[in-house]
Amino acid sequence: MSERNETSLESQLAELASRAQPSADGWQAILARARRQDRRRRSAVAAALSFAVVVATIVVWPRLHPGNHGTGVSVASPTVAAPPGARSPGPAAWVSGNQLWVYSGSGALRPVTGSSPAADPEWSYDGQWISYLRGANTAHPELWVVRPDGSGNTEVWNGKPGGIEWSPTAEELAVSDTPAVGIGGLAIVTPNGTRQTVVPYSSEVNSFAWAPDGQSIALSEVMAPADTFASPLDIVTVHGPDAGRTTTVLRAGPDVGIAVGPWWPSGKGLLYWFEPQYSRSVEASGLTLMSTTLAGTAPVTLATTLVSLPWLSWAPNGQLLVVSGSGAQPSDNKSLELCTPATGACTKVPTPADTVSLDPSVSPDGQQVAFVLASQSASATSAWFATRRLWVFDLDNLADAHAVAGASAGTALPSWGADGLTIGYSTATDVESIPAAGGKPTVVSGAAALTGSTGLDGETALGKTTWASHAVWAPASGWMAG
Amino acid sequence: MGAVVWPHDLVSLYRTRYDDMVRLAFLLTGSSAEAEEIVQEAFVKIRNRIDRVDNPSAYLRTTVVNGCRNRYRRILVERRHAEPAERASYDRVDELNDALTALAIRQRTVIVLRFYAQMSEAEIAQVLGCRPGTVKSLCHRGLCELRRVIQP
Repeated sequence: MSERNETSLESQLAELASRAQPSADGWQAILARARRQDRRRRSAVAAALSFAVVVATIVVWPRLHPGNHGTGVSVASPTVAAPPGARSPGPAAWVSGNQLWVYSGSGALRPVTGSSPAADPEWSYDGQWISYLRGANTAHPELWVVRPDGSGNTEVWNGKPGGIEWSPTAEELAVSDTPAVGIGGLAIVTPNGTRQTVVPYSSEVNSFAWAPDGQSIALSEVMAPADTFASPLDIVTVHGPDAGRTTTVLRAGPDVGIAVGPWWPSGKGLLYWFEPQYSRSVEASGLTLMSTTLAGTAPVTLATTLVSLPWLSWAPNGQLLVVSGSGAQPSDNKSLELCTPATGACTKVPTPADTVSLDPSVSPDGQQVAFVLASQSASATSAWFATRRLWVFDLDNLADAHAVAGASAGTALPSWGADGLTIGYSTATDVESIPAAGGKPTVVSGAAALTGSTGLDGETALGKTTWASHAVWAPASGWMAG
Repeated sequence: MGAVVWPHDLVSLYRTRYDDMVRLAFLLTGSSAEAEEIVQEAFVKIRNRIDRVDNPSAYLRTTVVNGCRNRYRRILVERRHAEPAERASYDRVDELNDALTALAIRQRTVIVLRFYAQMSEAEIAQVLGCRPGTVKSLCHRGLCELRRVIQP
């Protein structure tokens, strides 16, 4: 080959190479690949550790202790063993057959004796207590608390609850009473029987939300007559030297109520919806989600949403995932948006055409989001429910949304485990968990997990996807509890 | 938000070498999409080792070349079953691309590293894990195959 030919080859190779067009987002692609690889590695390590534990339990322990074939763990009766080798996001509670059931997170299912008819289980911030309603559909519902091991089952309040919420920092519950229009009040009750009045019985609290530090509560009262008194959005300090102090953030116009949403994770602002004529039917078709600082300055609009707390999920960095869209049916016109509450900027999460996106849940490390993707349908029939699938995406790469391979059909309300590797969810018949990277789902309980609404305000009829008996997983980390 | 901490050297390497590596991988695979994937995968592979290597740039290039060689068999199979692309025009560079594709992967690699990446036979031998004499032989045979295309 002559020198001239070699020079020609060099120039032609350079010309050919110039036809490659490196993309501008190569670095983002590298980051996403690295993250996927890390997740696969963590899953593999966790699986290997689980396998080692199983081997040690089944093989090594009996050889070392030939007279004792147990695992050394004392489990009180009655319990049901979970599947061997089951991995789960941690403890969970749900209602099946009208009874409250608790899963320990590592092996045993336990019905709570004397809990029937139970509904709406919720965990305390530290996972030490579960609250639930007994007789939710009766004239006199009772609020009970019980420890996950079944002990301490105690009635702490009775009345007609408008809202119930555990403090994010203490073992205490705020509960509003709504016996009739214009009265009821708000109280804080504890498992040991104490009771603190926040709003007197002579006033009706429309809705409320604990501050992230557990020191105050944002609330809105129903003002009567509605057409003359503007409902305030108040912050009431409930603990500390300033207990009892009330600060008004803003006021609605005449005949307009305020539905209080969650606080910003920083505690410097909060979300809310204006509720024209206090109308639940107007609310059911979608309201504008607003965001304000505690000073009430320059509120911003985020998106049109249903007033449904499971459809709002915070990331640790203060960004908010919202199920946006109007209409009462969860199967119609619902999509995910990532919003910055301080500015009102929202970005739609791209998903396939003719689908809806629901039930967002941000992972504990704030890097991933699990959600439910389902086909678009005019009404939420059982056939539509079967199209609900578990999907995930990286928060810094919204375009990378993809299905979790192996997850069962009919997924509802996914929730991350504290390890950030496992996702728990409910189906129409099971409580299940699955590695976030995909795999074979573990059936934690074959009991019917979703059996109907609480009946409180006819929530299901108004399009909210709440069920009395979906599995509620214990808090994964502090910031999520808020 | 991101918990992954990236070595500063790797970020610098991306800025200075990413485009070059994609072009190199394109010459070795004939596919722009495959080239990007291979280079991105190479960055992921070396991210935890970059602090321990003397010449990160050369290490990256070797990883990319090995990535291309590992994938080349699959790329060839896919190309064999793919519909031929419609071309608006067909020039000498297209001819060169087709001729490169027809070469054995080791010949193609040697030609590209020698005449595009301007590497010496000793450096190529190190990347391929063979003797310099083998590189010389592969280069000679590859150039004979290409002679038809690169005649002036």
